[in-house]
Amino acid sequence: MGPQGRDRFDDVLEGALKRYGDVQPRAGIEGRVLANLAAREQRRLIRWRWMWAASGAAALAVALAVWLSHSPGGQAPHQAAVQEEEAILAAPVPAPKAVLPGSGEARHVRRTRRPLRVAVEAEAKLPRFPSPRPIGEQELMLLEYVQHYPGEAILIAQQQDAFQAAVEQAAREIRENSNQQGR
Amino acid sequence: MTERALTENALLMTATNQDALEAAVREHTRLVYRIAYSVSRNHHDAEDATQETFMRVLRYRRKLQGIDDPKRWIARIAWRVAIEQEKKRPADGQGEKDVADAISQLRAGGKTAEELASGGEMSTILEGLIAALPDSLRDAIRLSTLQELLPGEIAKILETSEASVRSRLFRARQILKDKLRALEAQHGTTR
Repeated sequence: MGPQGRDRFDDVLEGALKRYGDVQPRAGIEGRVLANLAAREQRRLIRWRWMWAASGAAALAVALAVWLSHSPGGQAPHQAAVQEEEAILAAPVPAPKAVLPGSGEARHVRRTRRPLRVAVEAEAKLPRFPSPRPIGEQELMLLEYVQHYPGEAILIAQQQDAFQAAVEQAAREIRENSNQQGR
Repeated sequence: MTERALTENALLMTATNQDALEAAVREHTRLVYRIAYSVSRNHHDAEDATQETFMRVLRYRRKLQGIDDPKRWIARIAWRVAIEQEKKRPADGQGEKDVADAISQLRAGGKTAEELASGGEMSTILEGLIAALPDSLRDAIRLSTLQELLPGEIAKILETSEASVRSRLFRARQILKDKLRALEAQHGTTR
C-alpha cells in the first residue's frame, strides 16, 4: 500500500477511536452518585455519634467504678449486709434482770425468763432497722406468749418495772448511807 | 473541647467540603465514567467504578480544596479504581469471541474498512486489537480516546512524561493501523 492507503487507514483509525471513546453514561448518573455519597456520609455521621456516645458511656462507667472502689460507703450491698450481721452477732448480750427467789413474781419470771432475755436482746440497738437477721425461734415463742397471755405479759412488765425501781431506790439509799458514814 | 463542639466543627467542615464535593461530582462524573468505561468496556462496571471513585474522593475530601487541578486528581483516582476492578474481574474470553464474530461478519460481508468504521463491527474489532496491545501502549491509547484529556494530563495519570505518552500513542496507532490493514487484506475487503 502506498502513502494514500496509509492516510486512508489513519482516517479510519481516527474515526474508529473517536467512536470507541464516545460513550455516555445512563441519564442521571450525577444524581445517583450524589445520593450514594449522601447516604454514605449519613452512615458515617451516625457511626461517629455512636462512637462518641459509647466512649462517653465507657468513660463514665470507669469513673463510677473508680469512685465506688475508693468510697468508704460504696461497698457492695451484699457485703455490707454480711458485715452488719456479723456486728450484730458479736454485740454483747445485756445481763438478765435479777428476780427475788420464792416470790410469786419469781414463778412468773421462771416461766418467762428465756423469752424475756430474747426480748432484751431484740431491744438492743441495731445498726440498721429492720435487722437483716430473720426472726429467731425464741423470739417467736415470746410473741406467741404475748398473743396468748396479754394480761400476764403486761403484769410481768409492770412488776419488772416496779422491781427495777425498788432496786434502784435501794442502791441509792445504800450509796447515801455509805456516804454519811464516810463523813 | 466538648463533644457538642466537636460535632459542630465536624458538621461545619463536612458542609464546606460537601459543597466542593458536590461541585466535583457535577463537573467530573462523565469523565470518570468514560475513564472507567475505557477500561471495562461495560456500562455496569463503569458505573460501579464511578461510584467507588467518588467514595474515595469523599474519603479524602479534605485534600480536595487544596488541590491545584481537581480534574487530574479525580481522573487519576478513577484510572486506579478502573484498573483495580479490571484485575479483580475474571477473564471470560468474551472479547475474543466478539472479535472473532466481527471478523467473520467482515469476511462474509466483504465491507471496506470505511464501511466497517461506520458500523458497530469496527468498535468490536478495535476493542480486540487494543486489548491485544502491550500494557503501556494500551493504557495510553485508551486514555487518548477520551477527548477531555490532553497528552500532558494522560502523562500525569500514567505517571510518566508527556513525550513518553506521545511516543506510546504513535506506536500504538502504528500497530493498530497495521493490524487493520492486514485484516482487510486477509479478508479481501479493500476496494
